[in-house]
Amino acid sequence: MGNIKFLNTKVALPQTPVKVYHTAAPAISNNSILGIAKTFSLQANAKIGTFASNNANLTYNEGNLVVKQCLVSGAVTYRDAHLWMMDDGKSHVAFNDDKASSMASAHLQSLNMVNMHEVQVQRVTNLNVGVCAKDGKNSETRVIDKGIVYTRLIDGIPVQGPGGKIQVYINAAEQETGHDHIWRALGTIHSTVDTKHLLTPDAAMADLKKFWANSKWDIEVASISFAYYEAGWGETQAFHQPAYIMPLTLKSADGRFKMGSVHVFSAIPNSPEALMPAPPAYAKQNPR
Amino acid sequence: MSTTVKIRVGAEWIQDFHNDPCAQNNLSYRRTHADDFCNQMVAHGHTKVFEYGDDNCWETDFRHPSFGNGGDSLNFSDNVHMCYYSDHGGNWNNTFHIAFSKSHNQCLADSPTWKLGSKMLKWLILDCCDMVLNTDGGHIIATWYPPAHGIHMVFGFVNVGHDSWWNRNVGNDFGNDAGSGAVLSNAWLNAAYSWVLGDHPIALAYGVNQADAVNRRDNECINYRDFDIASVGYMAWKYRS
Repeated sequence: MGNIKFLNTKVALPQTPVKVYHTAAPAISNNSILGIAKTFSLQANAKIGTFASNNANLTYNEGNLVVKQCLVSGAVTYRDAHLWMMDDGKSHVAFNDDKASSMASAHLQSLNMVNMHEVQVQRVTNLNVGVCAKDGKNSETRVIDKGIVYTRLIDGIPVQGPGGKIQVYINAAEQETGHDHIWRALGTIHSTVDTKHLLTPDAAMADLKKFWANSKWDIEVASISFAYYEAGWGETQAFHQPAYIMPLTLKSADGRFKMGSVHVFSAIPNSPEALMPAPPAYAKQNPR
Repeated sequence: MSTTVKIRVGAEWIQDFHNDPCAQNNLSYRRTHADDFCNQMVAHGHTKVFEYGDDNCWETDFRHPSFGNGGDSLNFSDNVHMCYYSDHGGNWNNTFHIAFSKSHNQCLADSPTWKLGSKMLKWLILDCCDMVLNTDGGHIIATWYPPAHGIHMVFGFVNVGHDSWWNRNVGNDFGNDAGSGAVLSNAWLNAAYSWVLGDHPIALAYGVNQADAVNRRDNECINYRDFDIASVGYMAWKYRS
């Protein structure tokens, strides 16, 4: 077993009872995606645009504008295919992160897809492009868009996971070029858990140690945070429940190879839904 | 997005190492990534030529024969248009390494023994850590100019990539987009970027000149399969930080 080191064990715990919510099933149809398209200022007219679907997603195309919705989670992306993550060869984002956040928040508010008190800016990302001659000369780097990432809040508690977030992409010309929206609707309340009945951070750390007990990795746990967990684009999720989220860095004994992972531990007793699946089993291949 | 050409793909993944000179720490989701990638490509009509896992992955599958020691890349990694590799990666001394669970004929492959694209390979996805350690042009050129012999693009991570259930859909998402004709750089960045995990994917394109490299970085999809690069003059890259 390798070493496990917790770099920061401070956890902000809730002061009031926390709720476990059922997740509302998304209702998705051609009409519903047209409604979303209209939100993003498309004409949203079935006579103008085209629909496409498979067993995972429903997509509406109107020229270079594309709205896609996941059938499982209800998550949405909007793209301007001519602009999203595209470089015109000269653009360089001149505005700073604060201005980017202001622009994105104004835009988000105008969309009216979420209540602004349910989001907080998590970070601002930069899409960088670079070029260099093979001799190392003529090197150039530019930032061509900013992605403003919003974390969802449920009852004031941040949501972590691959989901529970919005990302607004703004290019150097201050145009919104794309939008990610992984945000499952809350259903009815499954249960309410008093703070004294929550599982403790110590229990979460013990679970982590048990899970990784047979690993040879040296493990650094960067932090422990208390958050609701929300799954990603194509994942099924029946409940929104609070959990302890622990990002890890795994290091080989010689320090040359590193990997990252995340350990998630439900903060409530008798969790209604497993959050962290066991690694998939697989059959060994026959030798070549 | 529309697809007009079909491509050949191959994949290798390693999760299970042994207590021997090739020992590394075991991984959990490499097969999932590679499997899903292959399944999506096949679903879009492309041809899976090979998918090797664990001890069936060999360093010689990447070593060019001109470097001896059984190098057989022309029959494996360079006998497909797109190769997806999911495992441990490391970068030191401006040399990229991947780790194998079985010594055939070495435990580590190192990029100076590769001639990527000398036969067929156009796109190499390195779904592992440390394709580059930073985004300094000198480091990128020093690591990735020497092994380029016709390859169009290489995809990987700046520093650490994560092996986690959290991002287990990377191969699925990339394969779905790439196989359906999406711009490859954007497909990789969109599938592999995670601000929570701190995964910073990077897409690197080669070109005969600056305009060619930039065009490939920003627009190349699998329909560029037969647009060869006579000799590399420039490299262009894209990443989200």
